[in-house]
Amino acid sequence: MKTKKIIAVLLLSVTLSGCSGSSDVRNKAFIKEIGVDYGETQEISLRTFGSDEVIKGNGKTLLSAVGDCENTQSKNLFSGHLEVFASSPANIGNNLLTLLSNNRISPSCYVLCVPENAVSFIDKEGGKLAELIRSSGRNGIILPRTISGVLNDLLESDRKASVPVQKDGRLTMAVISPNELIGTLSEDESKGLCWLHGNVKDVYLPIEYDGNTTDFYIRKSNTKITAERSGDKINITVEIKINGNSDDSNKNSAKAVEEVSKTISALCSKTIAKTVTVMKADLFGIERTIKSARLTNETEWEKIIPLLNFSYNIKIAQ
Amino acid sequence: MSKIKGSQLFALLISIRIFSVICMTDLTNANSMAGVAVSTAVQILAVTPMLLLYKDSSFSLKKEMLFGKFGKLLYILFFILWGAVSFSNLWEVTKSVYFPIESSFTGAVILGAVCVYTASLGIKALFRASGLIVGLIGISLIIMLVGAYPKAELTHFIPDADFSGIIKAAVRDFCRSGELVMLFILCELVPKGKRKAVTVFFTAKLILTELIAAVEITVLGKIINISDFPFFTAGAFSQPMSIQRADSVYMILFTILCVLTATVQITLSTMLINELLPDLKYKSLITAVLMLAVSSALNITQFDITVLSGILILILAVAVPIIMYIRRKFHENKKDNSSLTAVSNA
Repeated sequence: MKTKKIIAVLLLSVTLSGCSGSSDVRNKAFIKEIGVDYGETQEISLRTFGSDEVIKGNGKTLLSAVGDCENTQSKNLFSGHLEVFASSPANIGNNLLTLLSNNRISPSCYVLCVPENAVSFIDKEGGKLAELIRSSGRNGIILPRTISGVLNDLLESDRKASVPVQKDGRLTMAVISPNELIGTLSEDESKGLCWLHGNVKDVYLPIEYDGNTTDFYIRKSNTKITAERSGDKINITVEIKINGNSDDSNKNSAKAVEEVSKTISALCSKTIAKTVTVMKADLFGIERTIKSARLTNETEWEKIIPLLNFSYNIKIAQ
Repeated sequence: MSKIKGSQLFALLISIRIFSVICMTDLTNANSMAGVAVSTAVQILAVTPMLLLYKDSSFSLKKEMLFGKFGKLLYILFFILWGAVSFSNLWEVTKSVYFPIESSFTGAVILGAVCVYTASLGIKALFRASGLIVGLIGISLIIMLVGAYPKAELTHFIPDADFSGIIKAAVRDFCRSGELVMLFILCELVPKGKRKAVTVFFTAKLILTELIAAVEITVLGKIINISDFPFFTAGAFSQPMSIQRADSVYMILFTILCVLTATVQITLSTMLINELLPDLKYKSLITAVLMLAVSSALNITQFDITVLSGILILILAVAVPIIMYIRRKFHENKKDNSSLTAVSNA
């Protein structure tokens, strides 16, 4: 009996410890960034961790293009730790779905839209894209979007999502559908988007009053969007709670607060006007908030839009 | 006979339940959440007869099994089927979720071998291990909750449950509660604290299932509808640490729970086969091979066993204990009457 148990343990240890079919880390290359252009075929370029070399490939599908890249070098490519997925707008929705199925990539991977030639963008600008997205996000210029967030928005009934976009050498925000770029937001509209999404912190907001320009330091902030029925209309209240202070202590702080409130309300209202009214996009989960509170029986987002009244309530604690 | 504690019974049952929850694909909306609550209430009622049976210390399932050997055979078949379902779940998950194994079949065979080895260590070792596994479940859920907290969006939960949806979800949940049948057999091994263990089990089962459902719904949003196994996707989405693939902890949990569930089925089948065919050799191995064969047959034919398992659970965990309880009461009354007659005659 003892011998049988020893044989069983030995057999299991051989089969379970990875002696068969093992894959050494040194034989793997971990993809850091991918750039994808969708045309007749999918063309991709990718950069791996610890290497400056850009590997290019193409295929009928995204995964076959990655396979093509694998043929050009000796290592197995592993996409599980991908940091940035830069893609031209065409077919972006399907590509995100492909990557997310089977947990092929980390859902916290950033998405970046490159309107034209994402493949050569990785070649020229790649290497530090994740850091660039993170730092722009920290400064409240763009809203870093992960693959899961973008895909979730694309699956909502409006089928639109906001993503950072590379335009004229700068990062700003854009609105995409699963297959096209709907429009790009200006710098102010991008900032408004960040405020509407919430959690803007540790940034300086320039304000003008009494003929001077000064900075207002935003220590932290929190945004809450609520909806309530008012007759035929639905009132959407954006409440932003800010903790911060004016840099110039000699100035009138009440005026500074009023100015901050005006500036942020203006940024938010510009963004709402562009995204909701012009682009018919729901980037802030407004429809979900309305449906969750059962405020309307209307099922189509575009029919809900005319019912909406937006107001902004900025609360500042110093 | 091996005696086990009530707390160990709870640990084993909740581990088996969590394995089912991990493999569920439809914990996606208000209907399923309400359905789980209804199903749990029904299950509490359903196990009352078996608890009443075991309340009497003179009751022995081994001696009083309904339909004798045929009854035992039915239980053996159920455990083989449930073990096969566990392996099928493993196959499905390895196909849908990235698992670093060469083939799903190899994975199932290796896990089958592990189960046979674990079963050979005896039921006491299995129960002791289940205590540790509950700890692992706790750690995994804490990691998930910590990671899910900043990502959860309450508006993803839409309270639009309707009566027929709730009933359908409750029936589906009942059909997946194979642990009720196991409970009937395992109760015989627990001399004390059965009722407390069962009460805590149902409470924990309800809370944990609802908690996992709430995390899945609020974290995944619309993605839950395109996710093959929402638990794994929710695990991948709620990354609490800077390392990107903390979701591997759920793969480890899943594998361990799969081994535990299949081993319990092998152990229970072996116990019952031992009563029917004491001289048969390699009982655990034969049971494991049968489970794998049934599992591959289920995979090939894509046969949905939900209805079949529901009927079997209803018969083996509800109908049989009720009949046995009535039969026992009838015999007791008869005995009382005959002793009363004897006394009055005297």
